[in-house]
Amino acid sequence: MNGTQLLSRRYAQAFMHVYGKDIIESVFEKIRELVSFLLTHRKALFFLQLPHIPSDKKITILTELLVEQFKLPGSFEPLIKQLVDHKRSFLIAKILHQIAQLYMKEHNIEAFIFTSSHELTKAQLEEMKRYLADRLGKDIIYEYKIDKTLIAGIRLLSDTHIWEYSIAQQLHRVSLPLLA
Amino acid sequence: MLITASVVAFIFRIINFGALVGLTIFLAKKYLMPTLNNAMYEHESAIEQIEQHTQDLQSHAQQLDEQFKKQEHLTNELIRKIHAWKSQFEAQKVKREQLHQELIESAHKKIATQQQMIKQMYVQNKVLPIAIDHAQKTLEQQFSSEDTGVNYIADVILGMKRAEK
Repeated sequence: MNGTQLLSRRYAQAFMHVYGKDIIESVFEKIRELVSFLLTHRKALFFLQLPHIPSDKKITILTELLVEQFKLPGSFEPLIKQLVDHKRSFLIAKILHQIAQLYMKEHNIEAFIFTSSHELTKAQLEEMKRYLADRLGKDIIYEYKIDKTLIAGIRLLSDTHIWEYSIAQQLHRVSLPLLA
Repeated sequence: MLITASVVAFIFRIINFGALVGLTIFLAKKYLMPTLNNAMYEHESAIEQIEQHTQDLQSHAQQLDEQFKKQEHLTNELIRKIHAWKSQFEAQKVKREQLHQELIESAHKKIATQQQMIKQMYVQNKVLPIAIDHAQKTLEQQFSSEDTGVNYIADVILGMKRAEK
């Protein structure tokens, strides 16, 4: 864990300590959506690193984004103010990610990315979710992606686990000792 | 008178004889004795010299004998050393030949290993990537049809379902 991650983790821990009860499942879902949005639109928060933009403007924009747009509870407003005051508002995406991580840890949830070479049905996705829940003894949440480089098969990936059964992986497994 | 004359004559004859003998002895002592003494001395010294020479010769002969024995011993020693050196040389020669042979064998093995490695590297760097790429393309083609890929995934999920039970 690098310095920024550690700092974000501490802000997230402080937030959860004070406002942890406000984070319910729906809020958690909103946080994940927001984190996903911020990760895909990194330039959206670029203005936070510009010193000539006044603090109250930064607070207003962040509040607008978090509370108005993504419907997060008002308990996020003190966090936004605190971050802007500390000139660390650019950490907001990482802090939200850490809050989601802490929530998942607290509620025994593990987030996976399900990847398949061909499109899966809802039933198949749920079957994979059940399989993981059964194996790990945790609640599973997932995002779903299609990746043709798998050739054929599936990959279930989280921060701590990977389960893959694909032709690409088998080909890689066969070719690796030959090329070593 | 006659008797007296004859006695005197006899006495004189005896004195004369004595004088003659004394003169002879005197002359012999004076002239002959030194010569004889000299000759005797020379003879004695010659005998001594000869004896000395004989002793010297004997001593020399003894020395020569000793030297001969010593030389014989040295020769024997040298012959023994030559034999030992020869056998050592032979042993070393055999050893050197063995070593030479081993070196040749080692060089051959090394060359064979290097050739093997070059072949392996060629296979690894050229042939295998092409083969893997070809395999990948073939598999992609094989699973490109929707049915094959979907069926494969369905089988995997079925496996998961069975494992769950």
